This record gives sequence, C-alpha cells and structure tokens, in this order.
Amino acid sequence: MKKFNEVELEPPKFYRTEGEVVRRFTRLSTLNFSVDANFYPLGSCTMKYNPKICDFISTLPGLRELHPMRIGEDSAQARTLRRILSELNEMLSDLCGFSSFSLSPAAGAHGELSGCLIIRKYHADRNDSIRNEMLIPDSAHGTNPASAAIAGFKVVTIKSGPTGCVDIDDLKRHLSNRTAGMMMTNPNTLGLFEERVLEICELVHSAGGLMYYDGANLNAIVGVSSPGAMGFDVGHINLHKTFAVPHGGGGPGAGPIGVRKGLEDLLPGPIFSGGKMISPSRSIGKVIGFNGNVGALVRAWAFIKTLGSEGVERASRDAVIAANYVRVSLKDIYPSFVSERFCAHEVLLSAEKLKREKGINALMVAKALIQMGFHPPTIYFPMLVHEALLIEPTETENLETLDEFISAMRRIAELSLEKISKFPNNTIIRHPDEARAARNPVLKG
Amino acid sequence: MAKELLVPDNLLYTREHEWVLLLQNGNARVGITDYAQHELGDIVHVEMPEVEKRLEKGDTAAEIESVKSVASVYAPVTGTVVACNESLDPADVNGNPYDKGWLFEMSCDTTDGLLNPTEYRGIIS
Amino acid sequence: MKYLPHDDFARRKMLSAIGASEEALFSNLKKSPVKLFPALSESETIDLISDLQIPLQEMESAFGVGNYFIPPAVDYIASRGEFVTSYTPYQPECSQGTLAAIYEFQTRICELTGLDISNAGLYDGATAVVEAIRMSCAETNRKEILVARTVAPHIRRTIMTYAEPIGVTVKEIAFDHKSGMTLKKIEELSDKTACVVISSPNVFGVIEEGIKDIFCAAQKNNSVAVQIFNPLAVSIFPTPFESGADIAVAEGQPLGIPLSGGGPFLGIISARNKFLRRMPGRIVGKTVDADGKTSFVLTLQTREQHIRREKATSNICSNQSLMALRAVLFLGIMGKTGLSELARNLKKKAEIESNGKRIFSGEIFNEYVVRGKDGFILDYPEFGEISLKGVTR
Repeated sequence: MKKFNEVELEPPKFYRTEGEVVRRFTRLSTLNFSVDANFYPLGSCTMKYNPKICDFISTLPGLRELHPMRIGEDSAQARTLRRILSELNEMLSDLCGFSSFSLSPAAGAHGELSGCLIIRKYHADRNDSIRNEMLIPDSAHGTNPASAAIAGFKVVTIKSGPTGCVDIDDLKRHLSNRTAGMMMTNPNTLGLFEERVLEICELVHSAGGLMYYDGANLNAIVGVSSPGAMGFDVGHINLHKTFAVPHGGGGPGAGPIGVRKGLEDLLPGPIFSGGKMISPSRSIGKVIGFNGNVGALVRAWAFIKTLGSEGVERASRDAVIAANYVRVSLKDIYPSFVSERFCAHEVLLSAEKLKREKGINALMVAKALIQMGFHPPTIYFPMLVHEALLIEPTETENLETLDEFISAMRRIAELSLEKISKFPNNTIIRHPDEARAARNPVLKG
Repeated sequence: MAKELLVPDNLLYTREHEWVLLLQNGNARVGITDYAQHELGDIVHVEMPEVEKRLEKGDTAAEIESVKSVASVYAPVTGTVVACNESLDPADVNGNPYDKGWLFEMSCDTTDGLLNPTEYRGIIS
Repeated sequence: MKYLPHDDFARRKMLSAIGASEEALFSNLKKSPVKLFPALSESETIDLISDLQIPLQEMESAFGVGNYFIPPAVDYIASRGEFVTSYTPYQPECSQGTLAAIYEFQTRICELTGLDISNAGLYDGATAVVEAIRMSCAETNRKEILVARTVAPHIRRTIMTYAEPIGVTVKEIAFDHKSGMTLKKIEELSDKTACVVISSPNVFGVIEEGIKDIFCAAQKNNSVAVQIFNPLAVSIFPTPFESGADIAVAEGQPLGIPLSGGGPFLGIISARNKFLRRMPGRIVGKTVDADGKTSFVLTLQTREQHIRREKATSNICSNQSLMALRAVLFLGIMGKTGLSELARNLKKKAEIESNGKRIFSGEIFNEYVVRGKDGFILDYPEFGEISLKGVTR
C-alpha cells in the first residue's frame, strides 16, 4: 500500500511543470532525518540547533545580490558586510586566543590545508625547508593526514598511549630537525581532554616546529579555554559545528583559519579587519576563488551576537555536562576503555561487550536507533576502539530528549538478534547493498 | 572463530596473509587467504600490479578495497610480475580466494621465508 | 539563554548522576577568559545590519558569477529544514532525500557536459580546477601544467597557491590580442606536461574556437585536456565532450545560487570514466536494498580521506551539498529548453549591449571587455585600463 509521501527515487528525464519539481522534492525532503526533526548525536559533528535568525540574515537582499568583486566598494551594503566580517574576525580571534583569522577557507579540511601551507611557508621563509615532516596522532580525523600530504608534507604518525591521549615518549622519538609541526585536536577524537597539551606544545616548539589546532572539537572548550592559551600557533574552526551554521546535507560550512601573533602576514587573503580588506604581505596566496563562504560567515556572526560571551561559555559547559550524563547512564552496557573517565563534549562508548555477550554490534545498534527515530551516533570511529560509538549530544537538547535516547540505547541491549536484524523497517529503504554500489558503480540516471 | 577458515595444504603462506601456489613453470601464483578475505569483508575492487614490474619481497604489489577499507597485498617473493587475473570478479576474492580469486603471477627465484600450512594455521588461531 | 534548554535544576540533576561538580569536569583545562559582550536580541541583531536589507540594483555578471534570476521555487525547496539541517548522508536509511537529490545532480551535470561521471560537488570553480590539475598529475605522473592566460586571474592565483608546495610548475599559454582567444599552436607541450587548462568562455567572455585543436594536440602528447566551462553557456555551445575534454570543471553559481558577497558557491567537476578512481569528493551511487528497492548510497569511499588518509585523492570532507541541491532544482525547473532559451537571450543581449564597444573580436557568451573602468577592472597590463561587464537577465 502506498504511503502518503511515497516518491520514486530515480530522477525523471525531465519535469513538465514547476509543480512536479516541488512535489518530488517536497516528498524527498521527508525522507531525511534532520536536526530540526531528530536528535543527531553524531560524535565530532556537533549537530546543535541551527537558529533561524542566522538563516534569515543570509537571505537579506543587500547581501544576496552583492557581487564578490564589489565587497571592497563604498556602498552601504559592502561597508556593512565588511564591518560584520571584521567583527567576526575579532570575536573568533578573542575566543580562540589568536591574533587574526582568515575567513576564506570553505570547510574544516580546507582550513587544515591552508594551515599546513602557512606552516610550510613559515619554515621556507626562514630557509628551513628541510622541515618537511608533519606529526599527526593515529587517532586523528582522516582530513589531517590528507591535508598535510596535499601541502607537500611527509606524514609521521604518533601513537596514542594506553590512556587514549598522545604518547609523549613516541612523540619525543619522532621530533627532529625535520619536524615542521604537529596537528592535534583538544579534546581529541576519543572525547578526552589531552592533559599534557601544554607540555606537547612546548616539546614541539623546542624542536622548532609549529603546533596546529584542529578545531573540530572546539565546542567543548570555547569560552572556557582556547587553543591560543594551550600554546597552538595556527588552527581552524568549523563554523558548521561550533557556531551553528547548518550542515545542508553535507555542506556548505566554513573553516576559518587563525594564527597567533607574528604569523598574520602569512594568512590567505583577503583579511577583514577594522571594516577594511587587507592583503597579508607574505601570504600563502588565495585558497579559494572569491571571498569564502560569506553566507555561512554571517550566520556564525549572528549566532555569536545573539549568544553573547556568557552564552558561548555556558554552551560549552552544558555540552560537556550533557555528554558526561549520557556517559554515566550507558557505561554499564557500552563500556570502553575510556568510559570510566570524565569525557569532554562527546563520549566514546563501545558495543564490544554487547557483541560478546549477545552478538549485537555497533552497526546493529545504529540500525535499531534509526528504527526508534534517532539518527545514530558516529560508528566505527575512532578506530582505536572496536565497535566504537562516538556520541555527542550537544548543549541544545533538553533533558527529556537525552533521557529518551538513553532509554532507547538501554532497550536495544535487550532486543533479540532476530528482531534487530530486521531494523529499520520503517524507513523508505532498508540495508542497501553498499558492496554492489562499489563493485558496479552506477553514478547517474 | 564462527566458521572454519580454509588453509589448503598444497600452498605456502606469508605473515601478511598472502598465499603462494608454485606453478609448473616455476612462477608463483599469488592471492589472499580465506582469513584475509573474511577480515576485509565484501571486496569491491582490486588495483593490480603492472605486468613486468620488478618487486622485492615485501613490496606493495596490489591493493584490495572493501566498502570501508583498503588493504595492501605484499609481494611474497622477489621477482617480476608476469600476469594479472584480468577477468577477476572482486566477489571471487571473497567466495573463491584460492581458486578463481587469484590475483597475479610473478617469477620466483626462491620460496625461502614462506610459511608452510601448519605454521600459517598457527598464526591465525 | 534562547538556545540553551537546561536550567539549574536540569544541570544539578545531570551533575548528581555524574557524581562530580561542573568545575571537576573542566579541571584539566587551562582557563582563558574572553572579552565580555552582551547577548543581543534578534531584533537588535537585525538592526545592526539594517543596510543589508536594502536591495542592490545592479544585474550584472563578471568572472562567471552574477545576479542571475533565481526562480522562487528554488529558495522555497532549498530552505526546507529537512534539507538545510540534515547531515552528510553517511547513513543511507536516514538520508534518501539528500542522496536522491545529489544523484540527480550528478545525472544533470553529465547531461550538460556530455562526459561520463560527476560527483557531489566541490567548494567552487577555482578549487575545482585545482582538483582537476591534481587528478591530471596523478594520472600522468608529470609535474608541469599549461594554463591559458585567458583563464581568469582569480583562478590562476588559486592554482599557484597549491601548485608550488608540491613542485608543480605552471606555464602560461599566450593569446591573440585581437580575438581574445588562446593561440592554437602550443609551443610549451612537452613530455613533462600533465595537463592543458583552457576556459571557454574565457575571462574575456570570448568562446575559445580553437579548443578542439588544442585538446587534440594535448591528448596526442598524453596530457590531460581540462576545460573550464560555463554551466549556462554549455547549452548553446559545444559541450566539453564535443570539444574533446577529459575533465570539465565549472563555477556553478549561475545555477540558482545567490552571490552573497562571495559564497557559498559550487564547484562542478565531470570527467571521462577512466578518471573514476581519481575523482575527489563524495559520489552517490545507485544500488538495491534488502527488499530489492532502488536505493542510493555514498560510494567508492575508499578514494576519500576518512579511509585513505594521506593517500586520498583529495582532502575534501564537507562540500557545498545544499548549493548542489539549488543547482538541481534550478536545472529541473528551467529544463533543457528553458536553459537554452536563457542562454540565447543572454548572448543576444550582451552582443547588442556591447556592440561597437568590445575590444576583442571573438564571439562572446554573456560577458565582454570594454575600455575604461565602467565594469569590473581586469588586470592585463598590456591593454591598459580595461574592464569586464556582463548581463544576467
């Protein structure tokens, strides 16, 4: 029997009317989970609520119609845009303990690549190009080594120790006069605060390298601490994570890149400061065609303005409290080697015990959660833990939702294998054959 | 282990889970073991070595992709690649790892350093 | 606090379950206080930017981006929360809406270019060119690239940023000063040339008539033929496939995406089948589910950073998915006839408007170059003061 919103997934050859387009895409939209409609505890993604005033500002005609090449002109609209982008630069710099930001990079990975290029040029300008190694923890997100490689670095992997944090001895073993820098995130991808981060920064600095901060997990610390205070020299932030820019089904986001004092000249231009546009004197060059994802930048500006400095700090604190609440409520059923310790804004649990005792693995937990209307957490990442479940509730979910999720996770552990294997049976499709899609790629209609 | 993994007695093995069949012409036919295909899951693509490429024992010869991972296949012996399994269906690496799922053939001066079936069984248990 | 639902009661309840104080959770962090600033109300925030509510009057295009008309239905559908606030479609059962839209996008792009494959989009036109160059260098194992000087300056500058660190040399190909077209005979082709990059229409708005010959010569040299195309022009001029391109890239902004002072825009990439495993970014593929129903999934993920890490084809993770949705809505609403009609009208209007004023004799699409500073200044010192103008309606 046909459901009211059933839709043919295959694209039609053409549309006869605007109505056909609207009908099809309205129905398609109802097939998506979204933050507006569902709890989305994806670790490392910070799926917090996207305030609608942010969207509203990006639709204002004076912004929408502004040609990128007119952003330096003297019109009221261009002046206002430059003013708020300068203010965003200032606010981000203060919040991160950095001196200045370039707002050009279109995404976190783009920011990482820009940051690697900055580190590269820093050493090249000092005739120290022998430094071609970038140290990266084995727990790092894949974009870190990918970005470093594209920037021309040799990737040197640093092991994590038994506590899940960077192994300082392994780090010391790999420091040399070829060290260009180290990329790190704090808290790390296991959701743990790196307790020895100050020491790590000092070690790398002493060896002549620079420290890069991956801002993916900034939501745990912004307003409380900052990468600058920890000793980082360069870093990016993900505006579509910490600063509530919506994810749009995969993008657009923005990954502004900040630097400490002394490195401002190397940033990719244009830099918005004091209402003007600046071309840094020793810039790595343009990293994107025009001015960056301005539509995302103004959303982040509106978010920070409506939150206020107290709100920014309160958000981080609530994010960490919520994650620890989920941790203590589930660690008996889903223990991992880090679940007894305080976590930051995300908790790394594991289905390994459940798999051993009842045959239920992380993938099955995910499918059962979909059945129950929750988007699953991140699964099988980071790879340091088997059957990983990385859960980030964020600060914008109320206690009722958190308790609903906890209760669902506890119920899943009691389900029979036979029942779980059929989940989800209330979505438009079930268990698509991914092997077939990769073996025989069909990429267009 | 839920299922009994196959370790044929007429083959030699490496620690990296490759198998070697010594052909009549003295060349070595190479593939990955039942254990390896089981660990990798559904295999979707194999990147073959170039014919006539010279490989030292331990060099990366081929790459096997499953849906969510990539694994390297290492040259089990030193020699030159003479043939690849051109018509390989990736699903055969899972279903018939020792037979239709063979990957490539190379010249082989010596089989020193390869494991016998008993030694290999010892590693995977 | 308007976005934060917890009150002190809720916090106390959670902390009691945790069995620790709030401070204990943060004890390992070096505190760094920030400058205080108040939380503004929504109306106060909007008042701060009231000038952005004033519409601009210019309906212009330059450097391939402009105030093209955006059918209201595009905004209508693209603002649905189910599209705007959903995540990357890693869980296919949760995201068939996004996946079906991207699959349709890939389908339409291949229809436009005539080539075999496309992807879910890249950051913008300029970085798409960079990705095509990266693919070419990996495919040919060569480290020199030839880029036409008629490729827009902002694109050439972006190429330079990424080329130098990996030892890729960029050589520029000259153009004819009368026609504004790249010279057909390329002296610089050698066994070191990874690819030849030509834009048609080019930065002067001129159609590169010699593109087929240039690409033919490139391919004879085992170099990759890369065309930068215009997604509107392509409906009335030879497609990249017809021009012999191996890889085609474009700035997708004219397809229903607002200017917004510079972005977000949309990088489009399309290529011949042989480049499938070198394609950067996400790709949606069709398959069947456990009940035999047609389904879409992200596929060939072993190219990408989360699996290949430092050996990935690209580092791209987040893309411009919502802009790809806008593009597919625009293309669906316009249809093939609507698109070619629009392209023909733009061309006609540009030709009439620029009659007697264009400095180049080559055929144009919708942008053109004039003397003086009436339009957007173009930096080609050999011509003195020239600027770029273009029509969008």
